[in-house]
Amino acid sequence: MKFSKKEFIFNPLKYLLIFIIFLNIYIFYKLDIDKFDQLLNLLISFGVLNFFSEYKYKNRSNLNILSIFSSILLLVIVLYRSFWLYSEDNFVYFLFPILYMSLVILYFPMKNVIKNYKPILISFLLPITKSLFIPLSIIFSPLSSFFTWILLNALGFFSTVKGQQIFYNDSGINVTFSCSGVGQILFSLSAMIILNFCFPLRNIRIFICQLFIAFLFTFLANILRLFLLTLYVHTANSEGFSMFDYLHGGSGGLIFGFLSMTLSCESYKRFYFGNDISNAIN
Amino acid sequence: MRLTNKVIYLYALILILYTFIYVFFKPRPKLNSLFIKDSNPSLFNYIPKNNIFKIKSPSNKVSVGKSFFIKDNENWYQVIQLSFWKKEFLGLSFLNRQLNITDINVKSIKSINSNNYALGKFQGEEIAYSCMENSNKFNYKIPIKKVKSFDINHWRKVYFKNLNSVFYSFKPENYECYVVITNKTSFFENSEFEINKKIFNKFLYK
Repeated sequence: MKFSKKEFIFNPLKYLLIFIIFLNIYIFYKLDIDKFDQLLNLLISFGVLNFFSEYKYKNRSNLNILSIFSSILLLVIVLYRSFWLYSEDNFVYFLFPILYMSLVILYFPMKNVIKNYKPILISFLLPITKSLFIPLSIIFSPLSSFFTWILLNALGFFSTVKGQQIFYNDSGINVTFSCSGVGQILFSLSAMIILNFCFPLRNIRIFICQLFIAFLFTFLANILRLFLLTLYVHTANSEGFSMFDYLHGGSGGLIFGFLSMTLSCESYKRFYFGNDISNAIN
Repeated sequence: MRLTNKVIYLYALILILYTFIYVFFKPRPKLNSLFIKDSNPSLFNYIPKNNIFKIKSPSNKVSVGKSFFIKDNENWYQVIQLSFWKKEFLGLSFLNRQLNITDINVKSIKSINSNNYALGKFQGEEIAYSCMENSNKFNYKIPIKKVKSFDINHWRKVYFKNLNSVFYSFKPENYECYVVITNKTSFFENSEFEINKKIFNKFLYK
């Protein structure tokens, strides 16, 4: 980080940002938001705080009345709306980006806000990924079903596929939007974008290559999950421990998220350090 | 002190005030006033031992209102007033957890015309339950329409609906209904007249 210890201590806006981050994490927790979204929210907070810590408080130019007015207005509007938050309310994803925008406007004059686009873009990652979920799911649900069917047959488990449904023995699974793996794919791509802003790769080509690798790992991890779900579908709703229910539920699903993220981050680390990886580790 | 420094204090004050209000004030759907009009008090105010039907709101999407117990010679009926944030949030699965209703699965949800109710076991006794808007409209949960993934028109509507609820119609719409839990498992197959006679003629709401 480029700021001095003294600079960090005397910047009240940083404390305000930390307060906003904690408030946002608390609201996500209270509203029982999906675990992947809570994790992404933490990553986003880390990314934004990382950038904000580099701004020099004393060097900022004097604000004009327009900035002050816009900031307070934005704050009041977003807080009024968030009084009416309920569980499954999609506004919760806009809460942090809009609060952060109001803080940035209070920090910089309007004309400088655009120049500092990176942390703003990071803060908007959650609503962006949420809005991409449906169109990507339309594409990926049949694709995931198809590749799961190929894997099943390739390993000798005779199955059939019809649209998004995979049939094996006398039972089968229906690959819905939430099973399509799009949530995990968007999560890992968002994590790669945040990493690239905080620890940039050497050039855009390497970054695109890394995005593709992260996508591939996550997609394949989901195919593996669907493969196991199809094999264990007969254990659904059975008494005692059910492998299907475990893998289908939040905890089991996180194992595959963890697997794909570990592989993606390992790949990122190798690209970031290049040939000097052994030196970097040492 | 520069003006901007003063503004930071104002900003912080608004934020802290908001946090306090958020923690202590949770908006919930409103409930109508409910009056029992039957003159025979023996039918009402019967509180079962240990108040076994006591339920609490699972989230701020649901408000729990008054409840009362009706008992006739053969059957009993527990009526609980609920109000949901929106009609589409209607779902009674939280009752299964709170009241320990067992034997409830996909097959135990019965449909009659556009209505549905659930069958389950409560303390070893077969029960039927549903949330009644009136004598001919009742639901255990709002049925989900099956749509094809590639139905772009449907997803376009979903987008607009979500945007509308995020930025415009975010306040509670107060959809109120009355949960009827009864050991008469054929109760919801009764005629409108029978249901009114048994339940809705006993109270007034406004």
